[in-house]
Amino acid sequence: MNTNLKIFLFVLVVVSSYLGFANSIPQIESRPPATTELNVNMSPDELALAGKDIVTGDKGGCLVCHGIGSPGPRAPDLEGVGARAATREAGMTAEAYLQQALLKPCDFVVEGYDCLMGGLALDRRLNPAEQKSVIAFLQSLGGQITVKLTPQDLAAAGDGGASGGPEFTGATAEELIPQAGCQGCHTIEAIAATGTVGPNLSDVGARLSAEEIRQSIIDPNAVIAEKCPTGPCPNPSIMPPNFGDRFTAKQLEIVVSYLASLK
Amino acid sequence: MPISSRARSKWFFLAVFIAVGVVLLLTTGSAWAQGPEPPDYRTFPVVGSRVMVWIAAELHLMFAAFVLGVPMFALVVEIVGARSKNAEEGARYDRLAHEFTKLLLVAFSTTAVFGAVLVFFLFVLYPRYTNYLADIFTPTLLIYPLLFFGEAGSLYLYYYGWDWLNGTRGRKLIHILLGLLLNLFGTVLMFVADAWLTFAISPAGVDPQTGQLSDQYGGLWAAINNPTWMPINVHRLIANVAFGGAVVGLYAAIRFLNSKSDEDRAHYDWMGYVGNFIALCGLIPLPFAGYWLGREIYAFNQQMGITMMGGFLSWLWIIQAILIGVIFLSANYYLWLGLGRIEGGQRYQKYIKYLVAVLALCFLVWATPHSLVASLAEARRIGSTFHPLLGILGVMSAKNTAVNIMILTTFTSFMLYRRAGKETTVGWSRVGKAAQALLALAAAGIVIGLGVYGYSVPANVRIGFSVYQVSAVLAVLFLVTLVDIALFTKARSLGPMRWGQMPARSQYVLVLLAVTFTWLMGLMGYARNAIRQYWHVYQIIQDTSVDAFAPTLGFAARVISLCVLLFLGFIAFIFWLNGLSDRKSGGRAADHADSSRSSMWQANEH
Repeated sequence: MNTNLKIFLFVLVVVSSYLGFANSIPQIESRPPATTELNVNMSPDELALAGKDIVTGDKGGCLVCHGIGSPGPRAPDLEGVGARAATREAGMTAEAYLQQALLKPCDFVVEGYDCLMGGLALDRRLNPAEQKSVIAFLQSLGGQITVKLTPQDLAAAGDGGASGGPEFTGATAEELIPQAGCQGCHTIEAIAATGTVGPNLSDVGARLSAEEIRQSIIDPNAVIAEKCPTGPCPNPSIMPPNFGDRFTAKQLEIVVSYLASLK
Repeated sequence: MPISSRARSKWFFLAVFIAVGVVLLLTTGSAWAQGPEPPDYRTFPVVGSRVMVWIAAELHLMFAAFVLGVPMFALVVEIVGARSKNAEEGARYDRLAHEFTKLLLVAFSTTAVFGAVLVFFLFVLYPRYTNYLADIFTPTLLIYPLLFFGEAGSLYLYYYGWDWLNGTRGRKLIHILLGLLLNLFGTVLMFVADAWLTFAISPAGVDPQTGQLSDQYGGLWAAINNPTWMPINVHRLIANVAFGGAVVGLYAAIRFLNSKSDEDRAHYDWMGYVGNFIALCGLIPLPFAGYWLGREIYAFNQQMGITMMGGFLSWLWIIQAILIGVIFLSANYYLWLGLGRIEGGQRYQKYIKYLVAVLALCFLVWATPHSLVASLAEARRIGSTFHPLLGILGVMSAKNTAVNIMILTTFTSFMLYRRAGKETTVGWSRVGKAAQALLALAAAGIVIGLGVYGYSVPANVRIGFSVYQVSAVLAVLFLVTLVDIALFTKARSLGPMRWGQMPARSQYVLVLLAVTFTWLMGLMGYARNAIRQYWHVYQIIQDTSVDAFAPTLGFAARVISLCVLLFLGFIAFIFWLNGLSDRKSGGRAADHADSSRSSMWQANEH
């Protein structure tokens, strides 16, 4: 047989062996976590159930390290954490403790463990509503569920793991505003939005110029309105600060023009 | 200049201009983005965008590794030749270095072409991501073409100035400085490109909310000097040498197997031996660089580290262990076969069975998985994330111990090979050899002792032990070599080295080494990218394309295998071009007819 042909066949055998081995072991895909459906009408138990999906599923991936009912390979047992959370820090409620433990995990590290959650950035991996559902589930493990979803949580829900740049698909203000969740906090009569957390935008074009509206969307804390329908407006603003990234330039202009036209 | 060289020049310059043009095009990406909004993604027909970018990137990286690795040891071989007191031996090393460099020219232009293809694909298929990176790294993109010209120019001068800058000591020094310049440009070029890819793994210098450069977070320099940049730089630098050596070994093996004369066989046997030696020299420190990289990944983001080692990628390390095991075993086997061509080598063949046993044992430990979590349900069925019996061998204490013992064993094989054809003449021979044995045993004792002790201390203490294990092994490698040089400098030769008298299977071992190195490189490329999971830039820019998931190892293996076969196909073409060039100039032997007497292959230099 020709020498080069022999070499070629030898190479094929070697490559095929590696290929065969790699295909004979367990095959796992790592898929992005699915979005969890949440709404303000959920009962505490329903909210906790949704949180359980996050904790035990790929989205939270908590059980890679934690255990429930026994210590995990790298992190503490979560059983009873709902009761323990109320006793860990003086003057701190279970809800507040769990929220801080979730978003700033290295603030509270159980003795005998390292802080492995520091790089998780759960504030960006989970939106505020999902964070609350996780807290509800953790409270359900031996404690009482006190956490509740608010319209603001849902309004900000599009921001979970966000920072991914433009993500809305609409080409009109009527399509874009609901996607951005504006109706969760603002009243806009023209599109039957009835939110009462932020200022009423039904006639915002009479109060603000297009430039000021654009600034309020991109940088919500630049100027904060004094009065909101239920009292003083939240300061600092609770409006998501990243609409500048989530809208394309064209989409932003569509929304700005529409709001400026409301007089 | 031979006709084939002129043809190569055309390809070379074409590639340079394409690459530079593309980089300049890329740097204007931000300006383009100010027009109508481009889509986030475009789709490549049939196979999809990811696979096309994957193939282009992998081929670019494989050629780049070869092109960056070969000049390093070509320069070292040239310096060895220039410093040799024996003129004939010096000329032999000089020709070998020249032959290494000859392989570079076409490979360099191929690297540039695949680099251009990669940038085109990225720009067209992933415009948002590419524009984002261009915005962050604009200054480096502007410097990159200049570095590319610098490397191209110095490579051309280095290769075509070889004969012109030969003859006098001063001229040779200038040529060596050119080689140094070539390596300097190549290294800086790689460091710049590494900044882009490591930023995607471990972004720094940017505001995590907006993803834009921020002085508060360190700005551009922090983005470049991100947590994985220097570990990857060092890892690649070493891996390039090992990979280059393996590919040179492949070239030598093919030429050896096709040789018609004893003289050619002798030459390519020697060349293959040098290639294998270089690959081994690169391979030995590589695991340590890999551990450093792993540690930095854990330090940057523990979750990423856990995903890498214990999550869905855990099986990848089993494949890696198989590949590295094959490399160690075959490199040792090649050395053991080499004992047959040395008069006196038979003395040491009785030790081979013990070396095989140690290597096999270490290989089994290294290939033992740590955590096999495929799903929560599976973990529950096992009752733990670790196997109840074998899990103890899967942790880093056992693996660090295994790899260090494998390195010590390989070093022992090399020492046996090195002394096979010689007999010491110094009076302190017994003491010297006993000291060498004691040093090796001490290193093994430290490595195994710390490995066992590691089970009884916390993980953060245990990880520090690997530094002591590595230091012990490297120190012993150094000290034993020093003693060996002193022992054998004036040694008595037991007979001539019979270059060329190697069985054909030894050359297939070299082919196996090159294929395995290439496959391993493809696998590690997949690992590096898969740890980002569904992020283009980890936790900054999310992948929202249809490919926003890390594929299975089986799928990855198919793409890797295709890349390996394509790379080897292109390399075979380059080898064939070199063969054509040799034939036009009257063959390798005629090229150096003045001094390539077959008798010189009887020299006892190895």
